[in-house]
Amino acid sequence: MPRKELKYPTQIETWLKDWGERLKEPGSLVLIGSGGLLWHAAQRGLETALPENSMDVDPVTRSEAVALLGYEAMIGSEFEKEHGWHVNLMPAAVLLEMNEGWQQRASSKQYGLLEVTVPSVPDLLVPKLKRGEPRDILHASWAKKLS
Amino acid sequence: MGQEIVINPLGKYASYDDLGRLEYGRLLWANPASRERLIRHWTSPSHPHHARFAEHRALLEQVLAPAHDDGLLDAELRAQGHSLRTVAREIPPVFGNF
Repeated sequence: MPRKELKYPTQIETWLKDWGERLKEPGSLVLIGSGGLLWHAAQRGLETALPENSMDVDPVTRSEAVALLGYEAMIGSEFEKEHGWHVNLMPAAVLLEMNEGWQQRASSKQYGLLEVTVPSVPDLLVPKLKRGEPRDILHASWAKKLS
Repeated sequence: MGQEIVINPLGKYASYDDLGRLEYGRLLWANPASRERLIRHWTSPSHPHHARFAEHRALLEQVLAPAHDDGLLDAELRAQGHSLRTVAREIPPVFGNF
């Protein structure tokens, strides 16, 4: 029985490895939102669950091949049926919500042909804290473990 | 970091959903094979917006084609009683089996 909804750091690592293997040409994405926080947790070897599940990941890409993978994993897709969460391709303008210079503070990792960039934890929290919904506050509190 | 931040072509009243459909729609539209895939998805009778796509197809093809100047495109659309923002809102979503 597949795990439903996105909660554990390993789910992000497994997904990115899969996409890196499926790409036939180099591609890149920037991962923001809760998926980015889970990515940072995975890099630290943490397996602590998010206090509230997420239902999607929010990548930004300018790579057509990556966008196609994203479109195959959107809401209602086989990907969602299998994983219990989906991919929500975000426009590049969303990156402007983070503090200036986020690129210099971001981390990158290569998964096969896929280059993944993830803004720093404080930068990822900027839009969440601006929104300030209960779930965002819980995620921000959870993210303190990553500092 | 390999990512270029683009300026929002839809103005301050645009939603991220609309921007995303325009941005990724254009990215895929530029490749004939991906364009065919989008058209097949949007014209499928199982897509709930297929009739709207058919109704607005000419305008949608205009905004999905590579735009050299979105300001000019917006001015052209406004002369026809539309705007880039309102036409972008008609770009159908992709969901389910694509």
